[in-house]
Amino acid sequence: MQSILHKFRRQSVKFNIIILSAVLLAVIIFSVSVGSAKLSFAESLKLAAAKLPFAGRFVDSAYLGTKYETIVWKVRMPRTLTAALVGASLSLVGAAFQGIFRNPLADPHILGVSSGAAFGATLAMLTGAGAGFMGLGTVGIFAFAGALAVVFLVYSISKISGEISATSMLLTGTAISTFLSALISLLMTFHNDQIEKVYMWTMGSFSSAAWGKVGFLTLFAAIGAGILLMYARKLNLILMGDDDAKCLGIDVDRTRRHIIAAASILVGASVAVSGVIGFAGLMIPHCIRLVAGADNKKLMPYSFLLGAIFMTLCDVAARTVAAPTEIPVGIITAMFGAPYFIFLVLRRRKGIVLQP
Amino acid sequence: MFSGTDLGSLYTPDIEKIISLEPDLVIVSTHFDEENAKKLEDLDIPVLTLYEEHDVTGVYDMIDILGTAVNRNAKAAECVSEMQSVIEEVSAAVEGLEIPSVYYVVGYGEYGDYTAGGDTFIGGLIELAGGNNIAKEVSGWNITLEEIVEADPSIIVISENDKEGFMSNENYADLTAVKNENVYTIDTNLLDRQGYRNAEGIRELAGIFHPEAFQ
Repeated sequence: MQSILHKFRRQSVKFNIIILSAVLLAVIIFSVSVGSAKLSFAESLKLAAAKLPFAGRFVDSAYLGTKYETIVWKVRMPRTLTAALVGASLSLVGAAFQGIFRNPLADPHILGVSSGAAFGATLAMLTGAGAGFMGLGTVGIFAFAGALAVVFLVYSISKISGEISATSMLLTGTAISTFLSALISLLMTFHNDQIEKVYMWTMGSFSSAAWGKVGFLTLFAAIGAGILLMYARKLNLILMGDDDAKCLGIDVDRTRRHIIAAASILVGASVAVSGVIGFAGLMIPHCIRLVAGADNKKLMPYSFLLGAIFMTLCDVAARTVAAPTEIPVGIITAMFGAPYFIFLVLRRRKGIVLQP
Repeated sequence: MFSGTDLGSLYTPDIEKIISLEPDLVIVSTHFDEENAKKLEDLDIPVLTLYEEHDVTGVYDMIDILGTAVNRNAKAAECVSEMQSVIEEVSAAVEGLEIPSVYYVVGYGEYGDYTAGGDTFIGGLIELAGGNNIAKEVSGWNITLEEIVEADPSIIVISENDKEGFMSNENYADLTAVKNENVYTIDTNLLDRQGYRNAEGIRELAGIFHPEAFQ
């Protein structure tokens, strides 16, 4: 293990990205092939392969029937891709936020995005409105809108005091987050019958994944991740201090604004399809830092891929460990993630360094 | 319609108001806080606690106990025997008929799929009505979508409110019952609320499972 990590550190970025992508592909294939249905690993693989161009011609899966084709292609596949995209997005945002706020405790939900989403979702559940858009239900749309609205609000409030500092944004975010949580609890007191729905939603789950949502998520993840990855170099310079970055000709405020906007799109879209899933966004970037250092040109793409791998595996555990019952995936991410993270931190005596 | 004094909500009863009305008996159930019950008992107000039962026999006992508590034993016995005869009738009518596979929807969509597992009260009612609950292996309420698709039930039972949303959700579009429009609505109060109406609930379920037997 030690030697593998050591090699990982010394390889070129391109090489490591190829390795991580290969692992991700393997994990996705694995995830599509396991589940609670009485379908063997090999049969699942056959069903998965049968629909692929070219390879499909050599596989005969017709004898398994359309029911199992539905399970592999309409239940497991969109679910796996959703988990991968959400894990990737949250981890990438975690890396970006920890950098931009120079705070190791920053996670994707720190600006109140998740409480905004939860508040939106709660409103949708209480009003019971029934329209849909881009594969999202009303709850998803309200959650997405709530998430973006809160970030905009936090940003605008922080701006009032003049210069936008990381501290003022984090404090405003925490305050608004707490306020919205209180508001949700208040709404719940008057609508007892909906408590369970809201509670289950906030626990996070990929169980309602469908191709429409995968499309929605892919679109926003591509935009958000593209922007964030483009800013990796500038983020490195900002981490050395605002003044140093300004001397090097970087418009710090503008960069920060763009990163926050892109990150919010990623988190908002993730929360809209899967509810609030904690911990991955906090932990994955730190794991990468411990192994490969804090250079954002490596940290960001690696976090993106490792986040996808981690979340996909967590979701496999969520739906198979106690099948036919399902465990909320947020419980899995925390229960498996936290001990491993502590182990990593303890083994590394120097601790985590945010500066590249 | 029920008319009476507002005594607060399920989880937060207005204890002051309850005490001020000087009731001869307070009947409470699962969600009533033990501290509150103790407060009432300390004031010498008798509290009768009836917890959720796990089968219809439990409901009979519940009705008997209530009858004793309010001095209406004969009426309670009558209720129970009426329920028994309805359920016996249903059992006789569905006897020997082909047992359809059934999925009972408690919740669906954004926050996961929920049903009545084999060890739940409603799960028991489904079996009594001559249905084969696809979630009988499930303990409690939580089921995976994969499990539903694999079982591919021939009949789905859902509340009136949820039907439209369920039918238009793409996750369930490939289910045979959805395609063939074998999705039936029921007044879930007949199944959720334990009591006299459960017999009617069983009869309605049986009518959905075996329309030919109840013409």
